[in-house]
Amino acid sequence: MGFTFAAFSYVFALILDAFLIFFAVFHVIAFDELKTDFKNPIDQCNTLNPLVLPEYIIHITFNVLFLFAGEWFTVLINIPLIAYHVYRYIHRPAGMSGPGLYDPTTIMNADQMSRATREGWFKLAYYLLSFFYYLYGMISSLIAV
Amino acid sequence: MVQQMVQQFGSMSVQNNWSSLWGQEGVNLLADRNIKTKTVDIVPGQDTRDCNRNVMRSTLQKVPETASLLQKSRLPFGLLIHPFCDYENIPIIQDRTIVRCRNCRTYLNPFVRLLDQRRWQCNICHRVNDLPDDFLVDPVTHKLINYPLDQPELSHATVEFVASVEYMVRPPQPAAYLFVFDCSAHAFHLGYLPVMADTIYSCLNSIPGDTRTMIGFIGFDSRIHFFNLGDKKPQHMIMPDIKDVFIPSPESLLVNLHSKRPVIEHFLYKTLKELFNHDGVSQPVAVDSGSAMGSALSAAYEVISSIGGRITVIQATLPSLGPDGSVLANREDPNNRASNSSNTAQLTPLLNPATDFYKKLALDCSEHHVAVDLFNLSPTFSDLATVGQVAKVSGGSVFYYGATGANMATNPGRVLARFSTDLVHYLCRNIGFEAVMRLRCTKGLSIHTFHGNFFVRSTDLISLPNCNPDNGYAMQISIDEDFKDFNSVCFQAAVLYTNPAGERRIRVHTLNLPIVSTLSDVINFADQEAITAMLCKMAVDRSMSSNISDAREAMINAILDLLSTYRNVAPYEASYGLTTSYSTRLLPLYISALLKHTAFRVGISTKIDERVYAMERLKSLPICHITTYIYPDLYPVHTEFNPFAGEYPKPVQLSFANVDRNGVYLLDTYECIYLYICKSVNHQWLSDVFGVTQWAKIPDDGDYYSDGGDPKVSKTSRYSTHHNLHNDSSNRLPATPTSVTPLPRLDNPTSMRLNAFIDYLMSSRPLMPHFFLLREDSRLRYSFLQYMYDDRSESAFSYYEFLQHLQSQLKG
Ligand SMILES: [Zn+2]
Repeated sequence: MGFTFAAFSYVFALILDAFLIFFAVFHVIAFDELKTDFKNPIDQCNTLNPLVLPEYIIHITFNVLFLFAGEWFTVLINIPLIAYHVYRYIHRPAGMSGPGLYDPTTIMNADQMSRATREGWFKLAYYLLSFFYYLYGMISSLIAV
Repeated sequence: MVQQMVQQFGSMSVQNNWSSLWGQEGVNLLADRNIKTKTVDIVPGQDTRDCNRNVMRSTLQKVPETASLLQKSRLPFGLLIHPFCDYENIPIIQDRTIVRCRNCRTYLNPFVRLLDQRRWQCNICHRVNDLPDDFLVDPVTHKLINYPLDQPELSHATVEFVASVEYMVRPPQPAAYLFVFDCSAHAFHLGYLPVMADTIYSCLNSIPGDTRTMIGFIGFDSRIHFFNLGDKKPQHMIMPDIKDVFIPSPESLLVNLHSKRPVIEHFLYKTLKELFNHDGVSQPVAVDSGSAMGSALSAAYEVISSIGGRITVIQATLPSLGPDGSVLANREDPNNRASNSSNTAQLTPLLNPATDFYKKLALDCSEHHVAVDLFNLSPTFSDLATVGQVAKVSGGSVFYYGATGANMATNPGRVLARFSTDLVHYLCRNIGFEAVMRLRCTKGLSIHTFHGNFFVRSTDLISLPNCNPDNGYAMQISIDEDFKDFNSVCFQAAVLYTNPAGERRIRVHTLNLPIVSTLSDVINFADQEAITAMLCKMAVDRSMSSNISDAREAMINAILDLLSTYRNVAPYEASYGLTTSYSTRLLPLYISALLKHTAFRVGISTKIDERVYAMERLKSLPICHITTYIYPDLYPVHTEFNPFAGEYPKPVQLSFANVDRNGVYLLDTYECIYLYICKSVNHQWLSDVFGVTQWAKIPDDGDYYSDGGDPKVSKTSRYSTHHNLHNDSSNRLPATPTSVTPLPRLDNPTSMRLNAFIDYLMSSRPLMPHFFLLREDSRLRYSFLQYMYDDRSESAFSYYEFLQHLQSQLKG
């Protein structure tokens, strides 16, 4: 038994994925607060926007590790989300000066709100499932050698 | 045989049967092209319990009981609201408890259920509430009222409350007005500053407010000009540092209108007019054509934010200096103006803001109860999509004077006259400060999307730092739960505002709509004007998020959906020709007009600012004006009519087939009025109206476009290019205002009649339309002809072809 680079990338991904789960939970709660009028959209956008890029970067970071570790299948199942992130960021509201995706003047539209809520729940599920997958990946790569 | 029946059916349904059957009959659209003029609107009678149709109106007069029924009808469901509409006889309630539901805070309204003398059931959340003790007591006589239904809350759909201290977050603010104006070389050549000074001066007595009213002025070119009005004489201070503006003595920049009246008057009639005087010669102090508008706006925000109020910004050119994001570049490629339907995606970025500086500023303003109104006088590209955000998000208004043919480069005198008249209206119109509007709807309904100029603060609350009588709003509504056990739903819009006298007021409008369970009821009680108004707002959103082609397609699909739904509702009738319900008979006409509207047209060269402004108008015009803006009125005015007895000419549809060779026509597009005079017009009419005997002597507005022979042209057309400003700018004099209408007022019945009619049209709207006087052979003939929406143009279907297109799509 040895500690391979693959095993290392899975351990690393596990820790980072825990952060992503936290991000997703925060995202879902934030939009729920908007829907139930607990928070002002300006404040909410100001808290959410700085978190968007870190989330994307964290996700890309451990995928780069997987790539170097040659874990092709793991990279493959993550590519759709990376592609979605890139697409989403390219199509962010026009003229935004700061980083982020959310514009307080349009966020309250029901279409945008339900899209963001759905996105939050989907990502939460995705990150949770990948958490268990990375756990499995870590164990199997530790045992395999 | 079938053909005969179709025709018979068509003419029958259009002309005879509608009244007897209350509009439940189908209408064959192909039977008569003049469907608008040949049919009559059924306007339901109204009493005080019904919400005024101009104040709050639903796209569906009867609400489907389930979301799936709404889905089946394929019609947009929403409300058009004009909450601050100026109309009289609103009952004002004071010195009495404001009766509200304890659960959802709904105000007592005529549609609640009174269980007995003391209890009422809320029609929004269904909670049973008690009536307060003083409800049945007359506030004047202190006697008991026998009949509670006589109380204004229970007898009027619109009431206004004088609010108590609990409705205030802070003491009501004074009326505060801050003017931010361009005083660069551009402004000098446009010549608007003396006009503005005179207009404000003449309105000082009628500006809404009380003894606390405050006023201030900030100018900008490549620097910021502050005017200290706190001393005996106005003091002009110039701040060259525009990146980080230092504000000298903020308290003397915004001063009390009454105690500082002499200083303000001195400023208006002397300081402002001599701003460009240099060594006794009227010209720009230096040739300063910069515009630090962004810095000036930030400075204005600093000055007024502690009080709240209104910033009026007058823009003469594209902002060229200032903090990051406020400086804008010319993004428009004139070769792309006539985009065809395949490349409208190129326009999408231009419809959206280039930077978020102005939007962020507006959000800050909104938070501090400040609204920004934008007057745009620039005849060239001025990025209305970006700068306009400052007004849109802060709840203000945009006034644009750069429309093709109606701008400062082509007809400065008339535009200045319009600007001056509009400014009078603007300064004197009613205003509410630190306002919010909440729309409550019966449990099971929710607001889907908001349209208009404001900031949405929560799911049912919009913040309107200022409310004014000219802006309209719209909300799309979605049905979340079924209404099986109810027979009506209710909407209540409440505007909480501070009036200019510093009194906190709540204006409450309640609209009650019956619930229906069949598709035919939903469709037969659809409101076509309201639906068109809603569809075009949705199309504007679509143009901005996707592209104009998509938006056009969505509008056509809306019509196709409607027509195919009607086939399911009335399969027998729909089997002949192209049939729709009487209540939606004009939708295809309106949509075919919208496809040719400045906002959505393709294939015709359209300045991007003009398009953006048209979209802004579609979003924020109230329901009482938007129909004319979408489908203009064409009046034959050579006929007999008597405006002095309230008898006006009947409009004809927008087809050249309706234009007689010997007629005179007045086209009212809401933004413009065209008087179009055909060649064979009666000579008597000519001499009566114009005092000329020859048709060719009529002073056509197209004559200004002649090839440089007219000195007026060579002087004014140079304003349209930026570069020329640096050359010999001292040679040109600024423009001076003439009059809004070029029509002489002669002392004979024909002239008086026509002028009275035009006056009536102009007074029916808040802003002056631009007046065009055109002979049949005018160089500007095309600008009139482009509104012949029913006719075919190079790039678009005629109305009849559009119908045939719809029919072929339905068959396919
Ligand atoms: Zn209630």
